[in-house]
Amino acid sequence: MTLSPTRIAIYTLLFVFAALYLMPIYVLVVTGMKSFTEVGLDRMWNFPSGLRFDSFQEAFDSLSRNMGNSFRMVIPATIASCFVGSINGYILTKWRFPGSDIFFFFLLFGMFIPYQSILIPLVQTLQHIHLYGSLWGLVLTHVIYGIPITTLIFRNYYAGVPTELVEAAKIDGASIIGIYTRILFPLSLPGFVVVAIWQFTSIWNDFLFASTVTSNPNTQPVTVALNNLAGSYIVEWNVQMAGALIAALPTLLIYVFLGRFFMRGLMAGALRG
Amino acid sequence: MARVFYEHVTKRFGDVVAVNDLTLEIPDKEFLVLVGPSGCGKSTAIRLLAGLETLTTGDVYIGERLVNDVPAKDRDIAMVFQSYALYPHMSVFDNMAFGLRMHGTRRDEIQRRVREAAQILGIEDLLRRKPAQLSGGQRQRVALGRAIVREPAVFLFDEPLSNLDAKLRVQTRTELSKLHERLETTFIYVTHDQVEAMTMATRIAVLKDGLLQQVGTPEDLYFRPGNVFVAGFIGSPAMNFFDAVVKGAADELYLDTEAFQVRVQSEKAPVLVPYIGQTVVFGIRPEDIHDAEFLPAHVRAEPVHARVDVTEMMGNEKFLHLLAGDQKCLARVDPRTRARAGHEVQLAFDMDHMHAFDAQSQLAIGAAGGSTAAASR
Repeated sequence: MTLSPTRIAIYTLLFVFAALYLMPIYVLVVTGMKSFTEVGLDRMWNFPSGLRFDSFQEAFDSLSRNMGNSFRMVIPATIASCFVGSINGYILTKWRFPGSDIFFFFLLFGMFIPYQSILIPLVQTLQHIHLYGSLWGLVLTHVIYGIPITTLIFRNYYAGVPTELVEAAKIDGASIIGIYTRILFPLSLPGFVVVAIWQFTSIWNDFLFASTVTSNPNTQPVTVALNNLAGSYIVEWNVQMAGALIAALPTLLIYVFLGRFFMRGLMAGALRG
Repeated sequence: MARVFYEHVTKRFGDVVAVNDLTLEIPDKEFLVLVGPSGCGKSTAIRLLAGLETLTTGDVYIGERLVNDVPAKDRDIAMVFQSYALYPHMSVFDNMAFGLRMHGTRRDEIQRRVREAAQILGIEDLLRRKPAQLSGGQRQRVALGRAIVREPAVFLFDEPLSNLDAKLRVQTRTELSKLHERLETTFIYVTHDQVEAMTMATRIAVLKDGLLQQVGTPEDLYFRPGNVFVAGFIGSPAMNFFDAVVKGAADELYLDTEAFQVRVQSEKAPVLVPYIGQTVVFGIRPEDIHDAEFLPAHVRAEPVHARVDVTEMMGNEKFLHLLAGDQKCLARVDPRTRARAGHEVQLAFDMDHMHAFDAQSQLAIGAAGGSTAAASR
């Protein structure tokens, strides 16, 4: 590998950006390992005196219940919204009906509605169906709010699956559902990977819906609980930072281990077409 | 085992008429090839029969059954697609068994049919493999196998050889012909390649812009094309066409192109008499233009002089790309010819095999019976 001036410039730029992105993480980790007395804005960049995990332990104790809530909410929501998106994508690409393009347009339109604008109707609706305040209400919210993006991703993926495959299955005698379960679903793994990873991370990281729908601290997901960790008068920064790291851990691990499948999944759709 | 009948079938996609009032009867056990250039409606026609498209108007019958509203799976047909459309996640065996399973066939019957079809096609060793592990030719056989096990009344083929290399194509052509004889079932085959049509069909239906041009045996279409389009489409290299004025009198008729004149045989003269003084389209195939020096014995020839533009040595013959006046034409001559690019050559037109077409309607003048033709619009 030659070290041309261009290459040096590119690498320098990359290092700078990497450093910029990692600076907050550095502060998080470093602060998390300090004792409360060590913490201070003027001493933000300093190393901790020792490798202490007390704050992490304390944060974990406070947040473990909420982490559990998050998992119990995110996993069903992710699975459900994957299937909803998959079936939508399937119908829209392989069983086009009159008006399906307009239907898809309106479906997509939902993606551009700001979360904030629907909060009041959301609360009212959930109250009406007695799901307000529960994690299942939150699950429902996320599944519905995820319809546009999941449908979009699956639609683009299935568009790359040759229609002749569906036609052959039609002639062979498979029903509309049979074609999905026997032909398209087995071929959908890359699509599911992409959508699952995307949905898991966005639902896990969501704060607004979580804080709106759930009010009981015992029911709340970790994003809201983390926010509540901060006291009214003083903030235990070390515990706060440790908590943030813990809360971010699942999504971080997902990207670390499954990130390449995410990329592959995105590419799979593009190349096949 | 069934006949197929298209009765005044029309299919419109918005403003585009893909199939225009098609009436065609295909007797049981026939190998009918639908042929024509891209966009002529042949694929649409076969998809209408399969049930993958709905008719705009008209009726389609399989056997005696009107199948307009019958779903594809209940029409008792099997289809081989151009891209084979094999299910990528299933083994060869499962691919072939899928249709039977969907129709509730018994397990032992499925086994029997799949193994039998695999044996006919020579793919018994491949049953456990997945499509990705097969070559193009093997995949094509699996697609065929999937159709055969259904034991349908009609087999439909949508350009199945297009994705094969040239050598494999030639080989598969003969295998398909043999398969047709063996299975004794109606084959309806779509292709844009007239060679495939000529070599495999019992009858050929030529389509253009959604309209049926002519349907007949390969011999009918080759020797007695009903219009200019069919004459130019069937046979490769294509027929030469000249605008010619009919001159002379009933017993001494000749055709006058700007560049040359040729006498018309006395047997053919009567049909052209009504056209004396008018322009007709004069057609003659390259194989019926000879080098005068190497004229085959029985040919009654008319001499024509032309300039050679390019020669192509084919081995058993030479192609001469000629200029007669400013008209281009092609001749297939004896390879011993001394014609060379840039020089003149004396040709002999075999007027026994001349064709003449009405300049307006494009229909053959004096078309013989045995085939139907449409005025190409």
